[in-house]
Amino acid sequence: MTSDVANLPSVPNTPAATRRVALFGRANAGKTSLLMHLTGSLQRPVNFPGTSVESVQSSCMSGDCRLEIVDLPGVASLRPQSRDEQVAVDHLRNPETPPDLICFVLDAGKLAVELQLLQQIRGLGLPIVVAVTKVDVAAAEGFPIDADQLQRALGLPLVVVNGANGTGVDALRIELAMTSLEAIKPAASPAASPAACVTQKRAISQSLTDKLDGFLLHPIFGPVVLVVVVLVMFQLVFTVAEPFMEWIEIAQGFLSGGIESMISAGAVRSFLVDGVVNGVGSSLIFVPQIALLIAFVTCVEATGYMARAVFLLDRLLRRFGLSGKSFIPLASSFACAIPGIAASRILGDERDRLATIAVAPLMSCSARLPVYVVLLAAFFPAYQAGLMLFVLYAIGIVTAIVVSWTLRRTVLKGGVSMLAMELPVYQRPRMRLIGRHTWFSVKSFLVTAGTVIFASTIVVWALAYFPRPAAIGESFDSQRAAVVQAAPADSGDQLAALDARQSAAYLEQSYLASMGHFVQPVFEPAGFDWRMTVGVLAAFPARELVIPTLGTLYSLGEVEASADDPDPRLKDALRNAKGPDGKPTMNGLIALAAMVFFALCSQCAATLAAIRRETHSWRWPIFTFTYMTVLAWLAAVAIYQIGTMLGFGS
Amino acid sequence: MDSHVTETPSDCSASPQMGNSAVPDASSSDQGGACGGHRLDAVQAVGVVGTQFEVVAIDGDDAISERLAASGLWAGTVLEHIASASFGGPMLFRVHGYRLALRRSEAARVRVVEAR
Repeated sequence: MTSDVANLPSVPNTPAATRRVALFGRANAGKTSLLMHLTGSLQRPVNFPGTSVESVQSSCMSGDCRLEIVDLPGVASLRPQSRDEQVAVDHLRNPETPPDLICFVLDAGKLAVELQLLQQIRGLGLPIVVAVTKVDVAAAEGFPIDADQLQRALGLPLVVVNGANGTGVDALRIELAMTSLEAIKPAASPAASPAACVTQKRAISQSLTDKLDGFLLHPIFGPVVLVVVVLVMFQLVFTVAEPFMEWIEIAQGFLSGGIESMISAGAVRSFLVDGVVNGVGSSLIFVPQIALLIAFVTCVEATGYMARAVFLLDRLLRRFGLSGKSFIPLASSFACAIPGIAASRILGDERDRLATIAVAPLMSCSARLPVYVVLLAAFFPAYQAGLMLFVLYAIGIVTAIVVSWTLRRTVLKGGVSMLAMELPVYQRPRMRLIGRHTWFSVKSFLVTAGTVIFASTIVVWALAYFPRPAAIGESFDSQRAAVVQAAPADSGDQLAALDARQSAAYLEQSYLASMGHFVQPVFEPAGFDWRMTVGVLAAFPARELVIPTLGTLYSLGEVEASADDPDPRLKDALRNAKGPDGKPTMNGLIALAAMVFFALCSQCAATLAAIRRETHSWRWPIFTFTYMTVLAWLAAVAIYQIGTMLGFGS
Repeated sequence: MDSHVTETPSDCSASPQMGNSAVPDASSSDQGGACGGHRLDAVQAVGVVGTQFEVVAIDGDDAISERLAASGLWAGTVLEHIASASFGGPMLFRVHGYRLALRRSEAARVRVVEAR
């Protein structure tokens, strides 16, 4: 069949026509890579990691015929059991714009199951072209299939394709453009007998996947390997990303310097440097971490290992009211909760899904890391900092366990949770696909950075910059004049000190400071001074704003912290900051209370927006925000109060 | 099959004949009865990899049972036990040439007899 079609002239029977093709099949059948080969590119993002959670559309030409192809989420049957499956089935059953034909993607590796689904699809009456994938996998697993035999048995157009290298895709494109659009009749009798097309008896004793599973799913080695994989993931995020983050910092410094040399001091320059460059830059700095983590997670998923992690963790996560499948969204949330929340769509049970979404923001995301790093460096010796960092991550995880456990026993009680999932054959990941997934995720992060974070940064900047009482400027101008008059030769240091004091004086008068002083009583029990309080307040739209805000507040102008080398000036300023009474306003205990606060608090408008999008209600974002913020406050107060009682407060 | 397999009282209230495959000759099973057989989760075969079973029926007709049928578990299907996660975690079976992970609670709905 394959070769016959390939030899036909590529002239469609309905010239210049458009055909809407629905790419339909079970999960893991290879729809997404098939679409990539069919059309050469993906025009809209494929959401990781359910691979095709949204309908992805793309088009291509076959002769004169334009094929508009929709990649539908994988389904197990025509009776959908998750949001994903509902999308796919609704598309086929859409009474207004049903697809012109279905391209049924049939995984040769599980022929019998595929034929059952195909039998259901035939009942819809839509024309069907069968694309058989993974013939090589079936052969390697010991179930080679006979495509000609299968085609005769089915009585449908059938093309064998290879999702890895694209063999057979040309033939499929022609078949999709040329096949008759007449409605097909559902087969009266059971369609093809799989037995006729497959060598039922396994030809080989153990495939490569069997051998790997023997080790990776081993009761003892399996969990050990899983722990190693997770550790490698963290290592990637915290060490490999570092040089890239430094480059971004350098570029940012270069840009600020350029602006400063071109524009004279004033509101415009401050807006551009402090507001735009530093504000947006402080979130751009996380792009390498997010990209690496997403690439790693996608890669692990593409190899087939992610499903094994789900298998190994299911029992454990069940105890906490989650599902083994929750591991995928929760692991991605260590980079950023937004893709993690989107990834929760793979969870079939709605209650499992909501519990996962509600706790995903508790995983310490990459935006919390700079806060930890700066405060740890300022108040803890290096040998303690590593352990403390681990403790902060653990606090998030343990809280998530407690919250999900509670939710599943109260508001999210019951539900039909199920696992019943395929563990795919191990595969070498295709770099092109991983590159695409990573790029689309980074792009959506950049859009967030360009909109939500950018807008909030501007607001914080304006609140910190205005009003600027003329009296302060005049007072410092006269002081400056006095310094220059006294010692014109080496007034540089003194002038710089005056500049710093002047911006501090302005800040004390700013709207932001007034707000800080007003809210201060709330955070007094946690030991925060008004500046830390302002940092906390400023971070509610996006926690990326904490470090730039604290930097501004401690009158340092631009302050940037990389994961490894936090700005030493901010570190020292935090350590040396004194209140009106001359006592230090910060110490190790307050720093710990602040870090735990940041670890637990919901400070990310984009995450709440993602929760709203995924749950279609305001209830869950409001709930998540409230419980996280209350827990964060309680934990910070408890740490400070108990710590002070135990004498750690000095 | 090893000695851990326990006979469970069979509940035949709902055991739809899923799919279009031939219904196996259930009476030929040594357990007797139209929907007898062992519960699949009772097959404590952690060390006994490669044991093969034949599905007799699926208990229940809710979403889980439906998913099991859609996954290829219908009467006559041959299952091969591949692995079990530790601490009562999921079990892995080869079904129709692919690998299907089932929770023990899900496997409990599948009634099997040892394949000959």
